[in-house]
This record gives sequence, C-alpha cells and structure tokens, in this order.
Amino acid sequence: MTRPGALPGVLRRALDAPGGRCYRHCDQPIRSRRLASALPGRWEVRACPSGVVSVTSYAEWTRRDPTAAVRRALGRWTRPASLVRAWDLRLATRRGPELGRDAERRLAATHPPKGVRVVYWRVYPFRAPDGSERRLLVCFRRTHRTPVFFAADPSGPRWGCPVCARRRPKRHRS
Amino acid sequence: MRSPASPDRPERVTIVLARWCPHCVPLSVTNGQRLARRLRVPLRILDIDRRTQERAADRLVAAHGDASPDYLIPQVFLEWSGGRVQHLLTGFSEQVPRTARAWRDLLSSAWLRSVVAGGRT
Repeated sequence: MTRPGALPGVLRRALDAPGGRCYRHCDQPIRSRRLASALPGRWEVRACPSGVVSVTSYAEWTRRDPTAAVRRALGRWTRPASLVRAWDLRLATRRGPELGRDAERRLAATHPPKGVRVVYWRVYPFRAPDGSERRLLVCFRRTHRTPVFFAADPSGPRWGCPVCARRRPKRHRS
Repeated sequence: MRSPASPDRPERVTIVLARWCPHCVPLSVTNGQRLARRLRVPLRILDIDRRTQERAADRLVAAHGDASPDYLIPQVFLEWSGGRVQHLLTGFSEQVPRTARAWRDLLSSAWLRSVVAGGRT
C-alpha cells in the first residue's frame, strides 16, 4: 500500500523529464537526483556536474497545495534558510490530458478528480553586495545527512558548502 | 439566445504568457492555435508584460490556474459557454522539450477527442 499523496509508477514515469543542459552556466548535461524526506511525494534536484542547481521540484498526488510544506523542507536543507523565498516557489497542476495516455487514464479514473501538484524551486543567479555572482548550489557529500543547498560563486576558488567548510581541515602525516 | 438546456460548449482558449519565455513563444502560441482550431474557437493571448493584459492574466490565474506570487507561464485555459473556466496546462519548469511533450500529449488526448466530439468534460 502506498502513502496518500505518493505517486504511482504510471504518474512518476509521466512526469519524468530526462536530459537538458546547464543553462547559462556550463552547458554540461543536467543530472537528476532524488531526495528523501518525510513528505509522501517525489523530490528531484536537477543540477550540473559542478553542483549548480537548475531547478528543484516536489510532486505529490493531492488536492492540497503543498507549497508551504515544501518551503519548510527546503528551509531545513538550505543555508541560510532565508534563501528559500516564496517568490521562487511556483506551483503547477498536472491534470492528465497533458501527461500522456496512461497517466490520463489513471487520473480520469479518480473521483472526485485529483491532479498532481508540482512545486518548483528555482533561484535565479544574483549579485552579492561585492558585485560577484551567486548561484544556488547543492552539496551531496556523504558526510551530510541531508543535501545542503547554498549560494556561492561557482567560479570561486572554494566549494563554498557551509557544512563542509565547518569540518576540521585534514591533518597530514609528517 | 441559447435555451438554458443547451449544452455547454467551448468558447475560447486563453494562454497567459510572456514574449521572452521560450516555453511560450513560439511553442505555446503555435500549439495554442492548433488547439483552438481543433475546438473551433478563438485564441486569446494575455501577455504579462502588457499592463492591461497582465491584470486580466493575474485574475484568471488566481481564480482558475496555478497561482503563486511569481506564477509559472505559460498557463492555458479553456472557457466554456456556461461560464466555466478550465485550466488545461502549465509549462514544465524542467526544460522546453518537456513542455513541448505536454502539448503533444494534450493535442492527442482522450479529453480533447471527447470535447471535439461534443462531450463536456
């Protein structure tokens, strides 16, 4: 039995959007990565090999608007949490006819009708007070229990993850 | 004047868009025209960068679409003769080819065939 709000396979496949390139950064192929959370729906982070995030999305099969729950979850993963602004969260409802035959049939069989709600989090590049460019990056290092989203200059000399940066520097054997 | 018993029929397709958006122009304008032709109704474009159209777009999205403080475009609606407004499609933020696939699926959907055949759905 699946949790309420979880996406059945036919809807997961219908929402898939493989491919794409890192827009206005490196033009490298985008990699998709799933995230785990307490929410029943599906998370996906689309980022280039350098960690620059194109878009993060959360999809749930529900009648409610999950934007507030998505904002809370992203806030727990983001340093600082104030990077997650209401302005950058955008809702989309997938109703069936635009998802292909199998998903359309599946959604049409649900009464009363229930679409898939998708919340996108897209942070456009911005300038820091010193004039340097900042982009949203994500760190998936295994030392973190959760992904870490942060803003940094991707061309800068340091990776910039605030959690990695807190680790003590490696000691070299003499 | 139509009798109260006459069935609802499609009256207009509306697309909320911006000219600079690659999901909107030309992709959604071209496919919106196809959809309107199939339904034999006019197509209305609401450009969010034109003040008067933006107000109408904001109202339409707030009442019937996917509303957010800075909402997604394009958003496509079908207006029915009985006053009902049906939200049909919102652009896919992932990438333009995904929005193109959504248009292809919408134009070949069982829902559209049913509406063209005279069904209200």
